[in-house]
Amino acid sequence: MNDSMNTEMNIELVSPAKSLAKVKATKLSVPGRDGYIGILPGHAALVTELGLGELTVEGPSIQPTHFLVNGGYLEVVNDQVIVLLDAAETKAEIDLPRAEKALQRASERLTSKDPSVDVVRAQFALARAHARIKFAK
Amino acid sequence: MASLKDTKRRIQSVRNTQKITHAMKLVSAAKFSRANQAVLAARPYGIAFDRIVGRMAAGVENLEGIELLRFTEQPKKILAALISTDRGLCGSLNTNIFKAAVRYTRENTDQGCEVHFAALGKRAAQFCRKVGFKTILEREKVLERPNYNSAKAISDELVAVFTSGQYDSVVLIFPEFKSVMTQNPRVKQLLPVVTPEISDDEHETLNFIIEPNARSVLESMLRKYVINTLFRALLEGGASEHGARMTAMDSATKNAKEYIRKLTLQYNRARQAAITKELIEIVSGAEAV
Repeated sequence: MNDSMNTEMNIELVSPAKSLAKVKATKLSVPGRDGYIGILPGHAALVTELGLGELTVEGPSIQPTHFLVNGGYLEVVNDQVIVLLDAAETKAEIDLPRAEKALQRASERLTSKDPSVDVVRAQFALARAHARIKFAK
Repeated sequence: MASLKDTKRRIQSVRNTQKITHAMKLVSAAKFSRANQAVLAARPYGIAFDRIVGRMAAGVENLEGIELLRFTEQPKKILAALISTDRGLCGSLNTNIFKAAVRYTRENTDQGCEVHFAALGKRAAQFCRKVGFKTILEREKVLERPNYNSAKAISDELVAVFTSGQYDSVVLIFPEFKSVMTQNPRVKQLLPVVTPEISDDEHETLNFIIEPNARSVLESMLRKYVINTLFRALLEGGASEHGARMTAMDSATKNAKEYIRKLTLQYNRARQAAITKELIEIVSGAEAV
């Protein structure tokens, strides 16, 4: 186990449309369904679903990498980490004004008394917009 | 024999066609390289996802009651999602797919099973109408820059008719992309999900901690697995379309070139014959004097 403290994990980040990153790193933090999960070298085998939030990869040999992710899966086996992401955005890809508009629209929809509003969908949209704005700033 | 003027006009007309086919070939080549890139880029996710789903399915002890795995011994109703292009001029790509669809339908109706269609692509819709296949869903432009969200929208509809029990099975019929020259029609079962096989040594690494629990993770994975399978079929369809069009337009351009050569020869012969005739007339006219 001592060895594993010094070694790095092989991390692969992939989305359906493309491979986002393949790096060696020492620390990975992902948004799980019920809160953030930190993965360090030597982690036990794990499979989990991801939620909405910021994914961070850090290591001595790489620049810290951040992605805003929304859903997906994480698999850890023997320091081989695969992250399957449904959607991933970098800071540069986020359109802040658009996210702010989406936030406004979603909160308007939630506060309105119109019965045709899909509350669950609006809540998701609100959470997404919040996460985008927080991530971009 | 056609007159000089006629031949000349035909040469020009073939030349114009050649210009068009050549331009289409170049456009297709550009589109093809983009589509091919997309297929390649989607591969790592597909491979990784296959492995995880395979492991998960092998690790969950009781797979019974999971909707997307509902297996019917003798299916009575099958839905076939037929993926085609929207436009023609792509060789025998669509024809081959439709042949496969007809064969598949015949095989299954022989066994007393009803096959309905989901036409994904304008040509598929036209084809189903022509031969009288029943369609429950028609979509156009599915191969034009396929993306994950459009695949998800279609997949949701296919999953819905399966889980509601309307159909016992859903299959995909699509052109599998092998190379620019070869695209094979492929029938692939989409639902119930066929979980990928895993190798024996992987069974040993199955002691996973699974959050929140294996069954619910597997269920949500299967849904995405269906989307991803469809997404990849669409990407392959797109690459096939442009590849096939590129090849078809390349051979059309070559044919036009050959045709122009023949016509030019004919034209020159006719011209020579005319000159000779004139000379003979002049000479014999001079002799008469």
